[in-house]
Amino acid sequence: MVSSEDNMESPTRHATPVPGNLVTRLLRRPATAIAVLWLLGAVATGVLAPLLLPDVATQHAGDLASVRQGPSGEHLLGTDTLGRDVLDRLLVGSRVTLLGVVEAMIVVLALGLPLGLAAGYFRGRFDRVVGWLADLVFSVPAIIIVIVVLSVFRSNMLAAMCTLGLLQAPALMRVVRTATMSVTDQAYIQSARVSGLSGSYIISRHVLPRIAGAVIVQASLLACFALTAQTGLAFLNLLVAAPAPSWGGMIADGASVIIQDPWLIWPPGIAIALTIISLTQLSDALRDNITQAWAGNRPPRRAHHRTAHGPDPRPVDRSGSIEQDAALLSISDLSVVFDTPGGTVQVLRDVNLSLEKGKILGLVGESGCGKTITATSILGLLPGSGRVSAGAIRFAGHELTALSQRSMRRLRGREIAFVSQHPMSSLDPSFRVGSQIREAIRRHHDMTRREARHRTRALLEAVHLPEPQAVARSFPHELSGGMAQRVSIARALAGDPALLIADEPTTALDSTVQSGILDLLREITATRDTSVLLITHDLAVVAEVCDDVAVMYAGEVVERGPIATIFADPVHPYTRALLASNPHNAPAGKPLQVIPGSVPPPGTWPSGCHFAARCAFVRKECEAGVIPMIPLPGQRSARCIRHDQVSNV
Amino acid sequence: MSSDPTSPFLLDVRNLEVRYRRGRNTSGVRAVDGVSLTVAAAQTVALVGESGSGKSSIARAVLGLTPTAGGSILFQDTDITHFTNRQRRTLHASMQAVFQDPYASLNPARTIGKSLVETLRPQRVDSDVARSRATAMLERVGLPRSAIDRYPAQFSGGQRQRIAIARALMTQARLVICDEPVSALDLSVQAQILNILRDLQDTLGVSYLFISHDLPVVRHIAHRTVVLYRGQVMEAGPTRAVHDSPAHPYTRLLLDSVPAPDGARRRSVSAARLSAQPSGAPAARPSTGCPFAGRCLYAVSVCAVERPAIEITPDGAAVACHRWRELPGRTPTRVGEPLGTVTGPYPAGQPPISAVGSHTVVDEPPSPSSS
Repeated sequence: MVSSEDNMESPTRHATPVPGNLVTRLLRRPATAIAVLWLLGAVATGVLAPLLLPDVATQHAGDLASVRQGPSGEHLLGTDTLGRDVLDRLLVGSRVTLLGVVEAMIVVLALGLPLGLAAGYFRGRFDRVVGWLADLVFSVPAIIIVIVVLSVFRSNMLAAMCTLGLLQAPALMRVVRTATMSVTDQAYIQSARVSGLSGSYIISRHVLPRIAGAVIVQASLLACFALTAQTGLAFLNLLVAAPAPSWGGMIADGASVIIQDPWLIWPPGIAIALTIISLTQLSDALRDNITQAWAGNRPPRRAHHRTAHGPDPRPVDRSGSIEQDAALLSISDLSVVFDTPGGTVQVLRDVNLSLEKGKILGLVGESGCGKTITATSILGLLPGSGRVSAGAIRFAGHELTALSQRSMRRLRGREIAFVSQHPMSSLDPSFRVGSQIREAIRRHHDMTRREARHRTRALLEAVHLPEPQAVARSFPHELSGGMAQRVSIARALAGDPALLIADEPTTALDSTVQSGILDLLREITATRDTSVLLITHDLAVVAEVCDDVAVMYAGEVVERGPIATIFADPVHPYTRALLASNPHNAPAGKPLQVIPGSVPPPGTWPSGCHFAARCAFVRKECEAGVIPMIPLPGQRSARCIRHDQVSNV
Repeated sequence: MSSDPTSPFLLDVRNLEVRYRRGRNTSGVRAVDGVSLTVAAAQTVALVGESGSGKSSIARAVLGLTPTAGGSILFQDTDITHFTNRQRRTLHASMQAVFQDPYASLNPARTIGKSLVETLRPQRVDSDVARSRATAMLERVGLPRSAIDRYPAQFSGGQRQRIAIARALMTQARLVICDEPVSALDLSVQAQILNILRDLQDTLGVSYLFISHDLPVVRHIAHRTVVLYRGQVMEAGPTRAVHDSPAHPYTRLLLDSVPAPDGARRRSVSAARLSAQPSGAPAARPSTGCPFAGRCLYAVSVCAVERPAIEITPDGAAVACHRWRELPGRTPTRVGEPLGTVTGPYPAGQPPISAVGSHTVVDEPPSPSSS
């Protein structure tokens, strides 16, 4: 639903990465620290225990008078069916178990990683051959092949685990190949190719670091599989010759007496389970941390479900006796904040808007100005930890900030509809267009299938799609971008909404197609009395279709009014500069007028005028305190104390 | 095709054809169909058209990212059409690219410095020299020196695009292929980038092959404009001629659909615009006639069967239309700027808006397609 990623990211875009190196960052989380300790301990035991306890591996039987004794001071984990100490055997047995995993993983990585990288990067014939071989390997039952190998090389773990690794390598290869392909489609890989860098350099410096996360996770899953396979084979007594201990062999020993004494399967079982949990825990933590150095921000954790939108310090009359003004939608003093680990960050401040019935209001501004946040707060769909901290949104007699999620859901689609920037991704690719519109119609209206079908057709005709029947039968991918946008408008109209919020509806379209969609929006307002809130970065689009315009800058509305006056005589320096920097208005042969600097991200706003740092008209008073919205003649207002100097006149 | 390996132009594309295969035994979709164009030194040539017009395919073919199915590409008097990857590496110093998406064009896992310095790796430039050149380029595009040790995530879209431009010019390239370099940017940032591109052209004499769907931007920055439709050149010539007195109906459609940010010219739903919308299913492309005939308001029967020859208009543009002479006069859509006063993006006598160029845009009538 939320389409403009820029707006969503902005509250945390400039968050600094967590300090410390990889190891300290990893150990900060207790679960990861425990996992690391367990794995380190297991490896150390695997190396040291057979050296310190040299007799255990060759001990055929212990004290036969005290077999299957439970834990005691002498035998901490008890004794097995032949009276041998369970703890000793567990410690010594860890070597052969872990060694098997390591052997398998070396083969998996040595084969899967380079083949996957090469197949994903070079593609073509090489990719086809490798893919074909991988399919072939996938189709054979791995465990049975390993058992066949073991019947030739008796109790030869190296042969068995290498075979297992060979058979598991395609599972890694596939993941690496897919991840590599998606990375090599990125423009920076193409730039690197254009720069004449060699394939091996690009793969090692550009591709590998980017896919490391996927590789780590997949490799850890395969290591877990190798561990269970190794213990399984040891359980079947196929890997380790008789007296030598292994975790799988110990489980076999315990399983043979499980009725009389269930204890014996627990120590090796817990060891295996803990090792597997530690591996997955560590790989998740590694993946998260490896990307942290360069991923300037982490998406805020999704807030717990809230029914209301948090505190509302300003008293809002909720008794239902909202005064009847002409506006269908009226937003007053709306402020929105995001709760981040570094405190609350304000992204909207004192936004005031009003939209009358049957009119089009343009909400215009650059990315990160809060346009999309304004729209999502109307819809009650603020992303992440965002919440309305103050202000009111009145819509057709409802106070939206006070509505429960449930009533909000009833309002969405029926009274307030939404059209996004990406028509293709807002339609489900696996359903026919007609059925998606029918579904929307039947959710909002009590209708039979037949009636819904007629209405679908009427809607598709209303958005001027040629051959509506054929369009209804097609899948989204069969439509062009403009047609898909018409379809999503048709679907938005299914509930006969009073308000249509269109977030950059034409940004992804060609200008020839854009003009048609804009015409359609105007026609909808004229014939259906629907109001449209049109969010765009393009002043020209606003000029084309809107009745009124609100210009946003850094979380505030800085100027609003009827479009004719605003375009003819902008009184806020930002509006003025924005119009002047449009190449359409620029005198030919001269450099374009530029607004120096860039939009301050939320969290770095000055206490005074947000535009002061980039403004040509700035005075000391501008930076002194909050600039209010100043009402001006002609139903307009501007957030500038020097508006009379800015004006043309 | 490569009969004449010398060319007065920096880049000379002749009868280029690019096909994308769908399935194994088809001849493929012809994304670029006999396009010829030239770019002179210190010149900006814009490719405009809707999506699917083949703009980006031409760029990718010139960069060697897509194989060519026919025609030739001459760059600095060398036929690079069939260069191997190894041979291409020698080209990189003089031909670079800036892509559309500033968020995808820098590796997020590498610092800005690493991304810039590595472009000099094939030339085995000393690392200190490379690093100082990187800081110099960053300053040149208006970024602080400290940017060199930071990651792309710490920069805004406009700043990243500056970094991408700095990277493209690290090797002192002669030609930079700009594939929609400003379409993902906000208006105020877009102006900054366009000014930087122009400034660099003035001082370094670099040429741009500038791909865009935004006609006001093209009008501002380009010396010559090539209008493409479904992989064929519809009209090409000096930017001023193409934008102010468009001869081809498609060019007119494109110009008419550009909304103007003046608020004084609100148009009603015009029949002409509606009918010019792409109709339902993409019509089967006429294999012989004008590719635009299906959408053209002025199409007559000859348009569907015969591919129009290239003709030169009095304004010096080359146009591929049977009926361009008969088209009704066009009123200027730009309010408050009478046609007569419009000057080219550069003062006369600056970079060559050459007459030669306009004739070589399509240097021979394209052969009827074989499919």
